[in-house]
Amino acid sequence: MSALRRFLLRLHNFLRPGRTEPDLAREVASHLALLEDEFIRRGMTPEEARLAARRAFGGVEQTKELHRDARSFGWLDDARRDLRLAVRTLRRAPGFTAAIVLTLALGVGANTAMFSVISGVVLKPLGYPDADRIVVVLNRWTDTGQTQPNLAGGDEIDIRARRGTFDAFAYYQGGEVGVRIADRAEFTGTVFVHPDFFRVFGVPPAAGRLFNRDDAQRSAIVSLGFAERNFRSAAGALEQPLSIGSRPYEIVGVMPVAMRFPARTEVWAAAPVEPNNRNRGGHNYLAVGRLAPGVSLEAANADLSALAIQLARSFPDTNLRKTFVAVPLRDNLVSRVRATLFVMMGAVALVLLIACANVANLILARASGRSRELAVRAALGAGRRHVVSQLLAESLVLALVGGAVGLLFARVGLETLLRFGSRYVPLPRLDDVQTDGRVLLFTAAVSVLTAVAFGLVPARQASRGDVSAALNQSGARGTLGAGSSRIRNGLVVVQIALSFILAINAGLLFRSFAALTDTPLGFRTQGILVAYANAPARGSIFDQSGLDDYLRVGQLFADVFARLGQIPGVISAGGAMGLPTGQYDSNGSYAVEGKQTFGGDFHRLPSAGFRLASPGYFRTMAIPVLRGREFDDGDRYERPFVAVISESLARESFGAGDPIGHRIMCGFDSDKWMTIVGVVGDVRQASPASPPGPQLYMPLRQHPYAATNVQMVMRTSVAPESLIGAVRQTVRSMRPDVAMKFTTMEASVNDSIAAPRFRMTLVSTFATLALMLAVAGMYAVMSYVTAQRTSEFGLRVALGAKAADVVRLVLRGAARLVAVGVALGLALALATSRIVTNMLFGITPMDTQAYAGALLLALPLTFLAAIVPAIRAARVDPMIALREQ
Amino acid sequence: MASGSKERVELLQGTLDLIVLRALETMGPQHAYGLAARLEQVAEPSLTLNQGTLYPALVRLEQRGWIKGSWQRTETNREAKYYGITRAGRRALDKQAERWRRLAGLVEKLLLNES
Repeated sequence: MSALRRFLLRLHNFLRPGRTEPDLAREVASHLALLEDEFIRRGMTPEEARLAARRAFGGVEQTKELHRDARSFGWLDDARRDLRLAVRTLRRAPGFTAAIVLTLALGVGANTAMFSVISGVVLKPLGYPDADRIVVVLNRWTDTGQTQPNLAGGDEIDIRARRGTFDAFAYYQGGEVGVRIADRAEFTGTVFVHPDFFRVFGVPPAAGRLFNRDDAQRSAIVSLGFAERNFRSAAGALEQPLSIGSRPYEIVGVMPVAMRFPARTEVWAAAPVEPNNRNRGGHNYLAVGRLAPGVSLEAANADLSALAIQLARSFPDTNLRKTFVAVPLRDNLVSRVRATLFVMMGAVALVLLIACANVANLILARASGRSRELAVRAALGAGRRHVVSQLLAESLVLALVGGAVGLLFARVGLETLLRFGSRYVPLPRLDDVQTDGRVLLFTAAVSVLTAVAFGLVPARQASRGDVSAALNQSGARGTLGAGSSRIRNGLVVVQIALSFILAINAGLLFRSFAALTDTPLGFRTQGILVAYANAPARGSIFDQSGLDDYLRVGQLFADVFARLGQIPGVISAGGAMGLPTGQYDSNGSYAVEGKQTFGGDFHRLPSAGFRLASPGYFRTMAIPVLRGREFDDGDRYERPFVAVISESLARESFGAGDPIGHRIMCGFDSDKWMTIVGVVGDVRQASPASPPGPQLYMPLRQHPYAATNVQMVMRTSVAPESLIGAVRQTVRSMRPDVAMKFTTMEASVNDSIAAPRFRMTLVSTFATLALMLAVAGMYAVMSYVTAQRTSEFGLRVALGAKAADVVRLVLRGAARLVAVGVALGLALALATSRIVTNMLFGITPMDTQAYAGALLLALPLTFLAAIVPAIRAARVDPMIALREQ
Repeated sequence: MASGSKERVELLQGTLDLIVLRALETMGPQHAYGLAARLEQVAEPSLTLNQGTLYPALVRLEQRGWIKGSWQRTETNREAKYYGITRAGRRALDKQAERWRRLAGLVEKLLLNES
């Protein structure tokens, strides 16, 4: 009871100080008076009595201090006083405060923004119930060690049958296809999923229901966004029809935004319970599963290995070198960007380090200038603890303000990063990125740690000082202790070194990016309009049904290309399935007649990329025909099958011989021999970074089942985008239910190198920030050092030194710092160059031009930071300088 | 210095509270100086203490509600803050005294057994 009462009173006294203090002073005064009375009574003179009373009482201030401790919370009171003093002190030095707060805010802001991205993309669990139980199952080739995401249909069925390992297992496949609602057709992210697909994720529908076994090829579930866009509400979408390809589906459910797998999917269509293609040689299906309760990832993988061994025995032709691996879904989603993100984090961490060094340097410089002030405080009775805690309080205030401003910077930076990032880089899980609690905690930790780190060094140094030495020092300025100048110089060297590392890496990424954009691609990129088009056809390749419908689509596209070629501004038009840097790609094994037989162990066969092309495609894309001819109108389904091969394929399979007239077969969609009629130049298929490799081109109209999705290309004499309206109208007038979307070849190629551009831009930004900070730090230190030596310079000038001599003197000191910093940075950059190696294209991590570029940028800047204070020092009037002494 | 005297107060803390309460109970309301004088009387002459060190104990006791201070005039017509023991203070004194007696007895016994 009484203890609680006392606590509350102490709290009250802490919160409402001021009333008890005068009361205490009065009480002490009366106490002293009573003592004096007593001593006078004993026969002392009033003067003696006064002194004796003081002695008997003890230290008045100490008593007050003890009283304060007892009536309130002493340390809290102290902290409040220190903080108030800190704020007042800092407000008196606005330039210094602003410099530190800004520096810190930049470091903390950049870190928070970057950490927010990492936290959202890599660290945060996926938003599904027990998300860590969800795995993807991949196909791994045991001979090459390579992993591919696609499983063969037959293998998928066997894996799904392992009920003990998987609670639910589902295959899926898909991408962007034309989805038709009523009379509209739209390119929409669509996947065909096994009915158990949603059981894997455990997300309940926002409306309607999930799939059951009877839904195969009849029912679809759509995203909330899709439902609201097309049917105004989730409930409004239920029971509505839509068609994919030519197959009608009915919407039975609507998924909430929490369901976002695969990324950007808007329509999930129920696929057959067993995949259509059940052979084990073609790998067409992706798969996800939920581990059964109590089954660990290791156990699941052991079971998958056992299955693979069993299958290898039963089907040696296809499964001898195959195994399956389960990987947590989250790891799989972020695996491609993880390295990039952590390198980025490293870059911003360097920026933060530089910022901290800068702040430490500023505080250190200020602390030496304040040694007299601190000495006076010490002489007036401030204990070492007080001086240290006061300096710490200043650091803390700076760190908190810097952290708060930094958080503001982070908000802005993150927004920019996301806008920039989502436009150029398909980062997974970008929706999960926000400045969350964990990020806030991280920022707080970083800024407080920074405060302690940079606050302690000057605090210790200042409080160690000998009071009388500091007080006796002549002049207003403190001495330049050897210790503190060593720390300051060390900090400058570290800043230069770290920023130089960043500059070198930025240079490497810049040179690599330049190499990417300079690489000849093997096709034209300027002035080419690209239109993705999807026309519906009824039937399926698996039962060879609806062939006539597919052949009609082939005719339609042939007519469309002819009409597009007549649009004013279009020089030539054509189409392909598998446009370079486009959304569709296919590859596999091929055999040359007389050299290989197709079938059996596919691993012994050579492989190539498979493309379909229309007549006029090579001409439009300016892919050179090196031998023979390109496709023409005669290459139709009913005519002999033909193929065009790329230079690389010709070289690999025919050496110096002439491939024209030889026959070739591949696993694309038919088992007919195709006669090679032409050889064309190589292209870089996926992006400028992919090496030019073997390609096998086949006529669109000879492969009708794959030719309903076509990328139309038009070489234009005007700005490509200006023709979009005309193209859309032309196609619609011929057949209204063709889904279309447009881009240009240039944009498509740019998108394919978005990731390296993103990395380069980010690292360059950080390098610029770092260099600016380092230069500012250099400038601050040089200014401080020259200011400290003003009288020395004055003396030198008075004794006959020229201004140039003084400048040289200052620059020599600066040059030493820069030289050490650059050398250190160079060594560190070389030592860590391994980290960026696999992000580089066309250059080695030792690229001399990148190093030279960084040096050419860093040296003049640091020189500038030194020359300004040097000139200022040289201009000093010797009389004034000496009088300051 | 400050740290030295603080240590001594800590050494005396428990007893100091007890002594102050006991003095106020037997002598009636007293000011700090009066209490200090009484303390010096009771204590060994060798054990001198700064009179200022009384103040934290007074705050503590007042915050617990065991004593209450009020400004009055002394016989010599000086103003001084007089502290009087409260009813809660008397109860606390009984309890503390009992505790101390027991503790002192225990320590005594232990010391006897040791030797």
